[in-house]
Amino acid sequence: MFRIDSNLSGVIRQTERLITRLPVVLQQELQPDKWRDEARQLALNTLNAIAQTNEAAYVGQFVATMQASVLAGGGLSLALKSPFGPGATLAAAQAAKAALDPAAGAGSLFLNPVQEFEALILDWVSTPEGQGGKRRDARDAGKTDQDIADLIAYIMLTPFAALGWKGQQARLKLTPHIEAFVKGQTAQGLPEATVDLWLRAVLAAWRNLIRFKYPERVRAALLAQKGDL
Amino acid sequence: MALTKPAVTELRIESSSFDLWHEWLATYFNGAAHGIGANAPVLFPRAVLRYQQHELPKPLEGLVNEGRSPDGVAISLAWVRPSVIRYYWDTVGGQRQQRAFGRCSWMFWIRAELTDKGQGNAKKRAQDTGDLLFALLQNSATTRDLAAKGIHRLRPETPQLVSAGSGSKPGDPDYAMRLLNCTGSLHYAVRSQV
Repeated sequence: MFRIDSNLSGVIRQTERLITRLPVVLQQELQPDKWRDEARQLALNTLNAIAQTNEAAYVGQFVATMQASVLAGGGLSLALKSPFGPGATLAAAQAAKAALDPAAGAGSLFLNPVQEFEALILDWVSTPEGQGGKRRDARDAGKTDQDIADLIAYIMLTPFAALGWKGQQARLKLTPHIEAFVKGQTAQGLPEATVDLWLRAVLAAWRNLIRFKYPERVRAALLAQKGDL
Repeated sequence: MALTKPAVTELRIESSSFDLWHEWLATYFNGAAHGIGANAPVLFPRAVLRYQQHELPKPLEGLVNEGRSPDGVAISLAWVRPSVIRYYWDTVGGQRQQRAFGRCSWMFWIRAELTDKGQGNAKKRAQDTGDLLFALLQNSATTRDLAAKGIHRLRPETPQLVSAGSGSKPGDPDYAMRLLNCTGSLHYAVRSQV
């Protein structure tokens, strides 16, 4: 007499548990705390590897700007910016503003460039004119620096076509002054091309880090839970 | 050509592997012609070689005895270290020996910088150097010496452009940079387990 047994139902139950568990593990392994130190070390190694003799002194300042945080909706954000001035240029802030979903709140990837640009505008308004700050006129009378900065940020970051004629004229007049202020802020330190190269290099290194290690960590986490599956 | 540096050791995983990379890269990127596989020998640039914590000279291009490259080329290596180490037992020289291996990823930053605008194109120099390195890394014959010392299973990706470097703008340092990613694994003996 033959008897045929099957463990198919057990395999299906295990697979169902795995399907339930996998998204949880995928999210857990993206916790910033699990990546921060390694991402910082890799940024340091990468910049040290590509820096030239006269640039090496700036590596530490760059790495000190590194931030690891959670993205809205789940995900990991690793960010590095230039230590010499505002990370958000006008074009970057405008692009970020256009992509910003107000519902995403503090976790949005696009919030940071916008906030940095708003801080830059406030800085420009607060700086004396003789040091590159905004020239005050009658329209500014009775307003706080924050009021003036809020209005200018609105003019600069609202899509051009959505501004009225007066707003568009104001944007055209303000742009060269703000760009000159940004340039003055970034004049110290490294050439713009080098800053750009360093940021791109660290981005490429981080991409490599995540691509290489994330599947490995997910696999290890699932293996550690094998008994529960 | 056999490498003279010691094999990867459990006591100095990072530095021993980088020593091997240095010797291997210096064998090829020395300004002489080398054959890769059955191809006719091709001229390799002489490159400045650097590893993670060592900055590059500026200008990059210059005399060899000043630590610079006459071809204005540098290859800098950084790595994503292995996080999971696996162990197995093997018979080595008639003795049972525990061995370990871990997957890792190396990043080769290829930089070309030309100070004299009339002599060439940094972008092309970086591209050619990256292509040669890729050809070396994907060839099991040229990487056999590395494997013999514990650097195995090299899987390079084609070099990607990080910066073209036009040299035409003020402040542009006239360099081009490419990144070549290469995964592989390190194998070494765990001698304490003998």
